[in-house]
Amino acid sequence: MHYNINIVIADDHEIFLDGLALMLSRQPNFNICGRASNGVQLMEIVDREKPDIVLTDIRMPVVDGIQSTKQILAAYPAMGIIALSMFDEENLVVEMLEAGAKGYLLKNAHKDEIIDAINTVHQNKIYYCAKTSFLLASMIVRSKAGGAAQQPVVVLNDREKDIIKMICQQQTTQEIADKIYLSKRTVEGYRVKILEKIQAKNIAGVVIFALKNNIITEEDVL
Amino acid sequence: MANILNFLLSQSIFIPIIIALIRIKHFNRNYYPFFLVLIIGFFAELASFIEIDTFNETNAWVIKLYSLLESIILLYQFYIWRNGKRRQVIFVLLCVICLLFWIVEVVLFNNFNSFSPYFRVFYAFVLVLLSINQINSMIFYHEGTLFKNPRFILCLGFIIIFLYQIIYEASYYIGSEQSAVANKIIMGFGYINFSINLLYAIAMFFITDKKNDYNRYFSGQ
Amino acid sequence: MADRLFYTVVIVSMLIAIVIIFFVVSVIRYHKRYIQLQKERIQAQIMIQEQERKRIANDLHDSLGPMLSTVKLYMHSITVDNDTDKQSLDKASDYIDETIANLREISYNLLPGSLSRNGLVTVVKEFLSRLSGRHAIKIKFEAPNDLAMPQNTELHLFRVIQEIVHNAIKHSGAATLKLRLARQPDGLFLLTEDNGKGFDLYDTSEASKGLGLKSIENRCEMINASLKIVAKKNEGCKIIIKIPE
Repeated sequence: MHYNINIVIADDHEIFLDGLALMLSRQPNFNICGRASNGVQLMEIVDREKPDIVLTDIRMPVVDGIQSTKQILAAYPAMGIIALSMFDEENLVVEMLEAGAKGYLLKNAHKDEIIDAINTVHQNKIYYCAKTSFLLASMIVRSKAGGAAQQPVVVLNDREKDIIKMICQQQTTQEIADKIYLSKRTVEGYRVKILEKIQAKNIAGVVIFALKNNIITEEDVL
Repeated sequence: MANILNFLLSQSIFIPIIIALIRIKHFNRNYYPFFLVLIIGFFAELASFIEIDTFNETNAWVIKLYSLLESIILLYQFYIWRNGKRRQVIFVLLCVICLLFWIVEVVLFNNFNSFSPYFRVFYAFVLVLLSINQINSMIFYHEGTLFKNPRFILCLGFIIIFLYQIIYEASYYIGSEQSAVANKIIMGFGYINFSINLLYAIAMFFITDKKNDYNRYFSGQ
Repeated sequence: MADRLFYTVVIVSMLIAIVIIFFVVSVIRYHKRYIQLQKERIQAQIMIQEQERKRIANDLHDSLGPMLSTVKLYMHSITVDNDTDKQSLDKASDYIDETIANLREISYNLLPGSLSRNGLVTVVKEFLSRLSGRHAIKIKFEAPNDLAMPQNTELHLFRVIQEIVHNAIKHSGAATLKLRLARQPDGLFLLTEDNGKGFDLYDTSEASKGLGLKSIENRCEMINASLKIVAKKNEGCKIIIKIPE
């Protein structure tokens, strides 16, 4: 589908804001309709432009990302908010999710992932950054945000559960294939099917799903 | 004349005085009270000598006066040396107590012209305690080698000589006829005095400029 | 006359006894004061060190992080036509990722940010999982799930564990390291054991190892914990730390 997604971005580091705007504006169906450098500006612009998606930094002066998220969602409950985080802000990411953000990205995520995240959240699905650490994954599961949004009713057979376990332990497709005596291609097929069933976009989603449904425990992962 | 010569030769108290005078340029202001005590000591010796030799009188009053002056001035010396800003009151209190003690002893017992051990024992005791305190404080807080520190050497000297003073006065009080030990102690005083004066001389030798005189950096010298 | 002798001797003895007692008491008092000063000085140093680390971690986060991310964004905004250029760009992008990952590592080692929110056990598990796979050593960590302790204790205990783990990796050449936190009636125990080449406890000639042990000692003192090291050449190293409740 090619229709314009209106995006507002917020970050207190101006050079990052510039770079992000530049990169996103080169995508044909993204429209940057506003830029903010703190929570107050963000609220104003959102009120004025009523975008589809908001990408916001978590730490900002005056009013931070978490407060902004709460304010925006209070006024526009359907707004898709994606948190942008630096490398060491796990607990803040969890707070953003608890406040209602539908996804988060590391600021150095790959361009394709950023685009993917925007599209995913635009479809009202949750997006977990591919580079999520296990600590963050378990924190998310344990938090209030763990039960957010869609919980697909999924039936998984034992083989699929085993493969999920091994995926979570970061084993490669070849390693998994060797362990369960299947061909690499078959395992690859399973991977795709599992991602589809769970509606996860990447391993992070799988890990969180698995933790939530007790397919794996923290001990397996940490 | 020979007597005078003899006298001068036996004045071991000269030694530290001379050394101090030689190093007068480096003489730290903090040690002036002690130097004063040395000088007064010399004059006391002189007066004693004159009294005994020329007038054939007792030199008790010299000793009495000297005791008072020595106690007050040394208390002042310890005050200068003290480690903290507090406790100024203690020194003033000690001065007052010494003065009172001395006055009580001299006036009440009316013995300005005779020997009496009480005050000398008292102030010796006080000075020993102060010296111990000073040495302890220096052991724990001082940087650099202690044995070359004049303050340390002086306090050591004080401890030895004032402890000796206590047992000397006790022996004198007992009387040299009553006990051979007491006799020995009384006889030994001269030697102890001499040794301690040597110790003082060594201390004088180690006295240096005030280390904290940084003003000279600022006044363009 | 004998009376006189007697009383004099008694009084003089008493005076001298007082002098000696004064001396002893004075020494003890000064010594205690000195030890206290030393302790305070060390504690101040440790707190300063922690503040410094926090400052550096924040600086890394605030100045280096965003710029690197921005560089990557700009790189992705460059249109490349031919394959070699695209490869170069991808490689550059990967290097930036690696740099950021390293930054993350450094920042994390300086100040594990999640301590205050997550509790010691989780943070240690995360710390260990980051290490695993990168070193030959195998680390086992056992701890009760419901460990609660004051924040200060958590921080210092974490640093102690950090130091022990680094020592085991760098110096001991051990194949396994076991860490165990256990709650006993007389306090909380941290027990560590490695099967490495051990060391002679009294020979701290290897400067860095000596420093590491000293830092463990200092931090234990700060949380009032008692430390016992059992180590012998070629017999590994056991460390027992008891934290009073």
